[in-house]
Amino acid sequence: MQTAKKISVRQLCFIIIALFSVSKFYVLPARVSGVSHEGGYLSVAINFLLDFLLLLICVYAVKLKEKPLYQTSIETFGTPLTKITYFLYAIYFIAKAFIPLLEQKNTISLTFYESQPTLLIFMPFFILAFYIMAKGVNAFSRSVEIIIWVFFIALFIILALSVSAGRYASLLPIVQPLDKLLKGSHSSLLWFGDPLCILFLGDYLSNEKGLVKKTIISYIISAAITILLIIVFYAIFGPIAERQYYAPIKMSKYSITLSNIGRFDYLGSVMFSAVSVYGICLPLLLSCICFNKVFNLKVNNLIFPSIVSIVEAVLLFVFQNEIFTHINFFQTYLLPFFMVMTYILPSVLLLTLLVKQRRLNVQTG
Amino acid sequence: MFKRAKFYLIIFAIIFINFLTLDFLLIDVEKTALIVAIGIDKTESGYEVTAQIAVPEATNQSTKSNESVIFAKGKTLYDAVDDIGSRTGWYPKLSFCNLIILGNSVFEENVMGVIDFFVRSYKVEDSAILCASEKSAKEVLLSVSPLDNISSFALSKIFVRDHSNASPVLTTTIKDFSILYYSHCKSGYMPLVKMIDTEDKGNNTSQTSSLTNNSGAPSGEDKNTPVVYDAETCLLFSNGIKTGEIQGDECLFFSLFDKNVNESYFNLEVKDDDGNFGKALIALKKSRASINLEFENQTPVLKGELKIWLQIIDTDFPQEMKEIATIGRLNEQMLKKAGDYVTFTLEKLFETTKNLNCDLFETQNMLYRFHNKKFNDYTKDLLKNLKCNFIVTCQNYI
Repeated sequence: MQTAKKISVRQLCFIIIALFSVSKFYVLPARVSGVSHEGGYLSVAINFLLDFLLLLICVYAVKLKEKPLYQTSIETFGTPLTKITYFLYAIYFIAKAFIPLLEQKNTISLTFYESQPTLLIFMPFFILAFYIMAKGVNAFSRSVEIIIWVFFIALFIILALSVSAGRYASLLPIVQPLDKLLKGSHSSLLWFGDPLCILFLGDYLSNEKGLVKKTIISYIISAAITILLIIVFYAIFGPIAERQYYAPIKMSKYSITLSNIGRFDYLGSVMFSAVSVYGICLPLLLSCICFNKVFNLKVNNLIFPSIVSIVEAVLLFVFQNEIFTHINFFQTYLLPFFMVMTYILPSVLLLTLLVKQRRLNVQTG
Repeated sequence: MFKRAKFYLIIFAIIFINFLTLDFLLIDVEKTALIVAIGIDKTESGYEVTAQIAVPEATNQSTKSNESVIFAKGKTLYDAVDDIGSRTGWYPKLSFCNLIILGNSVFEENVMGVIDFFVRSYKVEDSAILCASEKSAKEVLLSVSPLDNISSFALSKIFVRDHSNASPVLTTTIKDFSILYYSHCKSGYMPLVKMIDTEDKGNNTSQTSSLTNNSGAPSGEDKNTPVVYDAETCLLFSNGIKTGEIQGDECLFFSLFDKNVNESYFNLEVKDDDGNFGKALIALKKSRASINLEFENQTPVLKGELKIWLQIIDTDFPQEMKEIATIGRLNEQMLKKAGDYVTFTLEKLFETTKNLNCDLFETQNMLYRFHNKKFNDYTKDLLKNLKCNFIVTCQNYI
């Protein structure tokens, strides 16, 4: 078996901060505002709590397992079940990348084009995705060390231009009916479950101290950035927030500075889009890893990077229009599948590992 | 290794050929019509849109742009906008549209029937300024102003000001108007543009292109009479329907509750220490304001606190040197009179808006946000039962 190169904990933290949050900046704020209105940020906070539990599950599973995840799974559940599960995860990651991909496609179409552009202009994305998948986890995690700064500069530009435009009384009353908040949480669950990536990236992690502490802090930063952005977003748009999709290109244009200097807020939007490309590539990369395991292929082969890129491109070509119909379809029909893959299976794995370790402890006295 | 390089090369070639043959799908800038303002009038058959367009012209001799006003009709607003492209062959680019003028015919019904197009559409920035016209929007856009070649640019000048300055022109945007309409207060306001003839005829009569002349523009001498614009009157809306108007100092003092101000002016009749009596121009040099909804014995009260710093700028009567040397200080009597005047104006504004059923002070929003438990009990008759209490404190700036 090929020895995988290592990801440092710092790189993992950067992935958590930049890539986990950026996918939640586009359609999620408007969608959750449409259901929870001024309590949208609270609905999102509920989902972050749920994901925080998932983060703990994944991090402890990574710490408990002594062998790579695939081998651990084979030893625990057997080869057929492991292969089926890995195959399902590969499909899950392709599906997981699809909504952010549609969001980016629409963002770019609306921001930079007057008329609907042909899909060919998005082809470079699939080339880049193919390249990232072919190069593997190590190259990806190293590039995130650059991407994190792009992310922070974009965040600074967008927030600096938009914070003063908000009317924060719009967020009142703070106390909201629980059912309204839970409905908002449910409507936005599709955009959550990112900590699952840690479980699969765990095999590539270097043995450094402070994994749990650093990932938790990174996750809190990621959640705080997202919640802050949603707060500013609702403060700016209030009751019309429901219609304001693709928040980064919408919320920063009301600054008085722009009337004198020009629309340099587009810089921030473009930077966010660049970060989003990596955000979309992460699940695609994990999908390739899963496929490689199922079919016993080497890590750096070109078969599944090609297949995954083509499948994603075909999906985009076929379902390019009516993004909100697709989101509703995912929400109605695929969310249960997502929930099982995201929350149930990692929990089962952790429980099994805990039981196994307990037995081992009993045996060794 | 060679195989991989070959693979990348093939992919690169495919992409590159696609890009070259499709010309990156970019629209030729010379075929683009940059719409800088839209005027909307309602007709019996639908909508008439008047678009003021700056057409970029590629030339090596001059960088001057052509200015044109064109017209389009449609059953819906988008239909009319789309008609611009059909008639001219231009791609109407609306993202530079910073001004939307609603003609007087639009106010006969709920204006949101028109405005919601801009909320729905991603083509127009919702930060565009929204204003009403005393006449038709077409007439405003076809007017000639000595201030700028393009009438909408001249008009925009009175709306876009330094944020720290207040004026009786209450500016609003598509976004702000829509937020108020869709909030609990369901009200709104919009400046009303009036055209005022000026004696300055100027020599700039080339504002309208041949397109204008062929498109049903008003003819005759009036077309070339230079005008300036006045927007110190503000229309009030309730549920999207125009209910009335306010003007002058009512607009000015209302705007003080929206932002802290560093410079503004109003007139006041004053009497100085030497017994001189006359009119004075008072500068409002600084303001701090807060407004809340409170309940006193179960009665909702709109409580506004306004603190303003004043200075005399000019008087219509001669003053002694000692008065002039005090850098425009107001005596106690003047300060009291100024306070009374501001309070009276605000109370008058409150009564006007209350009678018009226009929730200009957003009391319904305050009720929902700060007294949420009482919302269901009070929301129905809030405006009817509402009292006001404005406390205005005036002091000298220096």
